Amino acid sequence: MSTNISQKVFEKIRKKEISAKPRWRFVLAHFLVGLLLIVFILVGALLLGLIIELAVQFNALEVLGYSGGRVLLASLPYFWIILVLAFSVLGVFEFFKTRHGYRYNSRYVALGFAALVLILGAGSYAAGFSGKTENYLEKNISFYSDLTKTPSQFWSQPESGLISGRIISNGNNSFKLQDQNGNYWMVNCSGANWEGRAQNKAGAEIKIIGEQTGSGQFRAGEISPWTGMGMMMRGGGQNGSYGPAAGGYEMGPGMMRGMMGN
Amino acid sequence: MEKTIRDCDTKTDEELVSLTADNPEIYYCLMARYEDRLLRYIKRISNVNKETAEDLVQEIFIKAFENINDFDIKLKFSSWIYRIAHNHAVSHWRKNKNEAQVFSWDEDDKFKNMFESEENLEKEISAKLTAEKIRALIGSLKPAYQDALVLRYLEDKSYEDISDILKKPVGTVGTLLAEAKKKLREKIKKENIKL
Repeated sequence: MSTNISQKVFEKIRKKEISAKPRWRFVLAHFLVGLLLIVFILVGALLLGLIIELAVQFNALEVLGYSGGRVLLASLPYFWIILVLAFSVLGVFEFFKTRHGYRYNSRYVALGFAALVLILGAGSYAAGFSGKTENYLEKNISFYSDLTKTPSQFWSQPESGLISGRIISNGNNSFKLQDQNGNYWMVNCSGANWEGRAQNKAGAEIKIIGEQTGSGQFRAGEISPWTGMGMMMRGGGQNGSYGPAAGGYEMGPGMMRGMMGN
Repeated sequence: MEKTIRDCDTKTDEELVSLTADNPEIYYCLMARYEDRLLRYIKRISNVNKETAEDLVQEIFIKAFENINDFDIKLKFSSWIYRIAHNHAVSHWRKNKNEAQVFSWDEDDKFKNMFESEENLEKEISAKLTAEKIRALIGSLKPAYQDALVLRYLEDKSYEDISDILKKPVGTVGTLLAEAKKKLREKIKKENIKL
């Protein structure tokens, strides 16, 4: 056994007083990698929960059936979708930085990560956390509506057959609706499907898939209860203002999300 | 020091690592155990002369000593230090990649083991293998293939050890080895080397 190199290195270690790095530095580094991995998983799950929340609030399947996907495609929350993908990729890379991450096949890791984010995202939605987050973002983050179409914006596209609001007065085959911008609509609901807890009665908050038949005229195909955390009451409608004093309606505590109870 | 070295003989690598924290002299024993092996390994995977290889091994030992507290007890010490050696060699190669890379080793005949499962071929190789030609062909393979072949057939490492050294899944190591052998076989056929 040659020990020439070993002798040189040993002398160098002694002479230059080289010492081993303390254990806590490595423990901290591994902890930070693990922490970052958990953050990527949780953020990815939260974002996926938001996407599910929006898909439910958009009545994605029903709208798809009516419009053939055109409206839906234009309204997908691409910003969130890109972020979910970005966090998922970061998460997978972070996994491989963990101590034994390299032992696992990247395809299985990616699938496992996707499954975990999906399960936690669905859990976040089912627990109502995604709904609360979406509501919080819509109310408190001024640029949120620039990043993605909000449920209120989505259901305010009469030219695409989508309106929402509160029933002001009702008859057998029609009702008067005030939409979220304060505009009034006469809605023909003969032959319309009333989904879930939606009812033709004054004060009911609903969303409608159908067809604009004229100025202030709408023919309903499918009517669902408003399932968001509460309608966003925006000023600047035809009346110039919104709320009870302006002949509009106030934010109803009853506008609680119905999706969980549906 | 003499006594320390004598005490080392009965201990495993992993036991020596745990003792190094309290007594750095113990590290000398670990270095002595791996000095020749690492020197050979570095020469096999790098295009460096003897002096440079010795310098690299010195740097590897110092790096390993500095990071000894990060040694993962779930690994073999040999896998851990081979990993450091491999990474250090790759890093050295990147800094000096303008130099032509020539694959080199001094126990060419060990490569015959790679065809062990192929009975007839093994006999033929043992009889007719032309080491120089095969050496050149292996040197022309992708670095990942060379790494896998060297570790498996020259360093006699298991798939699990190679997985820990190269930080790749065991399945990927198997695939790499199979592909490396296939590519080598194709090159042998293309060059019309009679085995």
